[in-house]
Amino acid sequence: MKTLILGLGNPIRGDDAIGWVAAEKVYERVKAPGLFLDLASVGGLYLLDLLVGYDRALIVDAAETGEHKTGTLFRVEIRKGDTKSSYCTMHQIDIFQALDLGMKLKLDMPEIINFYGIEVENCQCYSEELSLSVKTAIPHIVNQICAEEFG
Amino acid sequence: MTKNKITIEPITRLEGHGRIEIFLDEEGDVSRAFFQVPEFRGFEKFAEGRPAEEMPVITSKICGVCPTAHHMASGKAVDGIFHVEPPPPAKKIRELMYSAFLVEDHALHFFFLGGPDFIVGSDAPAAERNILGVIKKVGMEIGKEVINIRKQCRHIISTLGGKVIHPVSNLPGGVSRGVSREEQKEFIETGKASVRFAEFSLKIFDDIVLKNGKHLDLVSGDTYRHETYYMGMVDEKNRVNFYDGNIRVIDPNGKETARFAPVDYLGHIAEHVEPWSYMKFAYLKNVGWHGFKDGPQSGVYRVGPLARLNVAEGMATPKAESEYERMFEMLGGKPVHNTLAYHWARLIELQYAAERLLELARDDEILDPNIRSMPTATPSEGVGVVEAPRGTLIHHYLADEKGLIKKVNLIVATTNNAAAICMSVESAAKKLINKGKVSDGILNMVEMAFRAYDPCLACATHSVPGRMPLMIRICNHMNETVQVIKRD
Repeated sequence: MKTLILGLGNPIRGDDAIGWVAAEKVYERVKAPGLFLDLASVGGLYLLDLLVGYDRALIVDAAETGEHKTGTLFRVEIRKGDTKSSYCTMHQIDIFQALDLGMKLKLDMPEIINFYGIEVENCQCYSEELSLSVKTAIPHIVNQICAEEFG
Repeated sequence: MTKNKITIEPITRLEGHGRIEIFLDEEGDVSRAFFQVPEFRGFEKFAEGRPAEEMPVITSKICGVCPTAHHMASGKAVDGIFHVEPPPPAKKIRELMYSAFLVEDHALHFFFLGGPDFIVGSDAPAAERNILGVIKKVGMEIGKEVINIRKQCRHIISTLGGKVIHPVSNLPGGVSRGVSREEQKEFIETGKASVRFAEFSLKIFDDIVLKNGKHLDLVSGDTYRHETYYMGMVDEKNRVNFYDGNIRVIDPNGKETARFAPVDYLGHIAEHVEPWSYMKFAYLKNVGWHGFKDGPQSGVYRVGPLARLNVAEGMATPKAESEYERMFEMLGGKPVHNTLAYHWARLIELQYAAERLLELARDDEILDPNIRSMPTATPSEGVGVVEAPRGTLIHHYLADEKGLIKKVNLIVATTNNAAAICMSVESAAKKLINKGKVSDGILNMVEMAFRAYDPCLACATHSVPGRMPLMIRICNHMNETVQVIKRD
């Protein structure tokens, strides 16, 4: 089985880098045959490009829901069949839509995609520093993802 | 109750986050319309003190959609800082990579962003105006073909650029790697496939748009027409060039009013600030800023595919040249002022980029290992300009004698087009919203004006799963919401 750990975000936009940092640490800890790491600053259709060819994907990304305390990790499972058949955004095409499109085009999409969002404080400025609250949460975030995904 | 403010956010199929504000008068008719940008600021400060040679790698992360354009403009600016000219093979390798990017980006725009309005229909339900609607109308194979051509072009970018999304190959005076004979063979095949794909795309446009009276009226009608100045990069024969050349400006009648080297851009372009937007509005210095107006007295100009074709006197490749001639013949000569003709111009540029990609891939000079001129002069100042898919992109850096960045100025394509985008939105809104009557179709027509320019705004790279709804808020004169229309 080919598994992808995909860190999303922008490393020069403050907390937006947390997806990269967490994905890298999870990969370093688990490092098993068939496990691959990718880090990207993309969304939409570009996301689809990255997912093709894997059986399973874990996506780690910053999130600004305003519903969680900063540094909180939350998981969204995406399965084939969960997808929505219509959408109206394009470059902002989300994971559901990318998967939907991939399925309709009969591309080799992962059977399992788990999305891990990390609530962040600030992605609106140019900085290579994570905020303290996000930085402090890293060990817990990595432990939690490893426990959920790799037992 | 009087409805005097309509807000549309976010604009569908727009990169980054943008918002259209439409203000209605007491009668419910449009009085003014703007688009606003929550711009991410502070990049200039972020760059200060960094080694200049890092800039091509850093700036490619400004945008998750146009990294290759920023990487190219930045690479050229850094060449300038170190006073070094890349050898011809390096220039050709850069342009080869850049042509692959243009093919990919223009293809993506037509089939995923702008095209659905025409192929599926501007009055079709929003849920159908997307690539899936396009597939339904044109066939499953087209979807696969778009994915496939993008994959091949991205392979060229990742091979030459070192990384698939954010290239790292441009160094002061050249590039970090050359091309092997095996890679050249692959690139040639991609070039051939790209040329076929571009021809096919133009045929679809011909069959579905140009042969459909309603759609042709949209392209050639006056709903989205603005008689502005145009600006774009041209080669020595005044033909479109994405990577190198001089900047040419024409007036609304098609007469050349300026032709200057990129390094002289500050003598020709200035930026106007409005209190209601973070975005700066670029205008022509010698004409001046006279508001959001058309005509030769207004310094508002446009960039991007249609602007480039307007300022050029032809295309440098045969198939694109033939399409160029055809477009201007069908639309009544140059310059074309109809905003929705941007979509057609974009496809002609797709054809040019594909032909240029093939030309460069076949050129054995790309195999020459002489790919870098080593810098020896004291660093100072550099300007790098390329034609990004959305228009002229300017990077300007000032460095100290150690090569550390002291000052940065970036003018992106959307800044060049910002004033015209406001004008197009307002023009469409005035014609399509009457007495406060708002429907999904009408709002999409307003958005169509916006999408023609394909503006890249805050360049947000991602969002949490769950799509952003299109929300329209109608407010009264007290800024109280009286109606919300939401498109999921």
